[in-house]
Amino acid sequence: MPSIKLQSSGGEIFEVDVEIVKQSLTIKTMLEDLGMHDEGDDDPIPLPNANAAIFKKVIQWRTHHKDNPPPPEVDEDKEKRTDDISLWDQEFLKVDQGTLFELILAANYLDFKGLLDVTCKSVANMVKRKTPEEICKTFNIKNDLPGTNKICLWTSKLILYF
Amino acid sequence: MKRGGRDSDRNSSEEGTTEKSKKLRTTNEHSQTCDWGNLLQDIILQVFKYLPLLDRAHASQVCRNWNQVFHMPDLWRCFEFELNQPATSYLKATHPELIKQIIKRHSNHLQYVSFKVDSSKESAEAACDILSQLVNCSLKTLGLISTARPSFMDLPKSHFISALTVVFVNSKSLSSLKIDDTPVDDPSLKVLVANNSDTLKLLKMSSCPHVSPAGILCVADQCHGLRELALNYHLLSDELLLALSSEKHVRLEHLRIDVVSENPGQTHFHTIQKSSWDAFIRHSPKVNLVMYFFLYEEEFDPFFRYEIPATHLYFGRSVSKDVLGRVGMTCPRLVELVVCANGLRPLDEELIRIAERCKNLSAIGLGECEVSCSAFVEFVKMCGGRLSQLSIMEEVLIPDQKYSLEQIHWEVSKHLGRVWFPDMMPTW
Repeated sequence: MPSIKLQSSGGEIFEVDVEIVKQSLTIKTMLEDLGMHDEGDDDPIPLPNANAAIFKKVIQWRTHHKDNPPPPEVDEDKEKRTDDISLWDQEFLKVDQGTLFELILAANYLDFKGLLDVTCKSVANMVKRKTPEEICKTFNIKNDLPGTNKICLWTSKLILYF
Repeated sequence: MKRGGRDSDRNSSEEGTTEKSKKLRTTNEHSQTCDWGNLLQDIILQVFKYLPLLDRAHASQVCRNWNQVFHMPDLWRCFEFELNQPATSYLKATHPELIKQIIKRHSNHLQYVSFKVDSSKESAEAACDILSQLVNCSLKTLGLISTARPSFMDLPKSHFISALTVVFVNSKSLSSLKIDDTPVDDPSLKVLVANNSDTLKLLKMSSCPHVSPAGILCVADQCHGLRELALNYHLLSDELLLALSSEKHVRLEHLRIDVVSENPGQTHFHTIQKSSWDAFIRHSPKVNLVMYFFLYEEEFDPFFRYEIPATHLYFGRSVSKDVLGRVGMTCPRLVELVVCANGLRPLDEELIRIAERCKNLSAIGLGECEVSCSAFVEFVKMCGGRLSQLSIMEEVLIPDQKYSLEQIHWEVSKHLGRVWFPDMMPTW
């Protein structure tokens, strides 16, 4: 099976099955831009925005899901669920917050929609049922909104209404 | 999924942060800490898409960046306005402040909108008020849903019509419209058609007393993409069925007809010609024809006199043995039958006939009726495994010499190929 060489930001080179990374629009575009084909060419494709550790995780995810088709577009007016993350994915995502953050960035950069979907779902589950203060604390976000109290007022009314 | 433990470790800004963050830096093999607050907006958008409104509203208060994402158009394509008066309803309601914000900042992003109103006139008025402000909207779907008594009917007709017309004129690409139990009229349907004839696929307008057969005919004549239609029987005409079956018209998928009588014996029901139904089914051979009957027993005279392509029949009030007998003779396409009530004479022959002649029947529900156990077993034997839904109230089954109530469930289960029991309460 044809393989392709990819180089992470730290310089480490990974040889992976072309099938696994083919879904990535980013990698596909790079292949075309650099005038490379699947077999033969020995120069690795540089991916400056992905470090080795995260790259390994991404490859691990893609390998497990290699036979899955890309996720279909959901009808715009249908509600999106967050309780349907597969058990394997749940285990895969049992990582520290920093790794989850890196995974999202990598999935976005490499354009692996399935991985982006599941990581975003995971973050959504961390946000659900929390007040703004709790969300800030969970993600260590500094609140830089002006006149926060006033803006919060109508959302707190929303809470009372429900 | 992670919660609690590790997060609070990471976020305690009081003790030992330097130690901990040093550790994390080495583990992550890079020097930046993760800045969730300044994540790319497109990524935050993906997260927000998985959050219901209240959680999104909370998340919008976290920082400026997240707040900007909250207002991105993609998150405001679908909205359901819930309008209830707190004094009379325990149902939640969309906050007036939120409604103001939506109209101000997001009215031109809305595409799939519905209004759920309770039985008070104020709620219907509030809905009209919002509708008339949707001037910059290009809606694809609009639903007006009365959760209790139809309060839209309490409004002055002109008030309602002018609000609805704002949407019809500005949208120009309405695909799905649900306006049951509203005072919509013929002229407003003309406006709908003038602006949306290319895109309209679904129209539900049961119980709209101000529309005439000519009004709905105009829709069928112009909206050739219409696939689903729901209306009351008084709007049905030969011309309508022929218009829906014209060459230019797509195949209809779903036609629902409500046959309703308010006062016994006072409503005259016109007849439809058999040739119109024949043309209809020739044009749309796979259509679901769903008919709801809320008539008094003596009003069924014009119905079931010749073959009609009905697939789903619901009898909401008492229906006579004679009519059910005629159903068996005239509805070969029947898939689902629900009888809420019947007189006290057993429906044995009628059921057997239905089993014989309705070869597609897969669901049946019987309420206040009577069927002898033997006839019932015979019925199930004839239908066999194709009955995926068999909802029979316990008191329907009359024990006889062959079967008692205890034996019946075993016999029926045997012929169905799965465990079956009669119901204690109606399931419809």
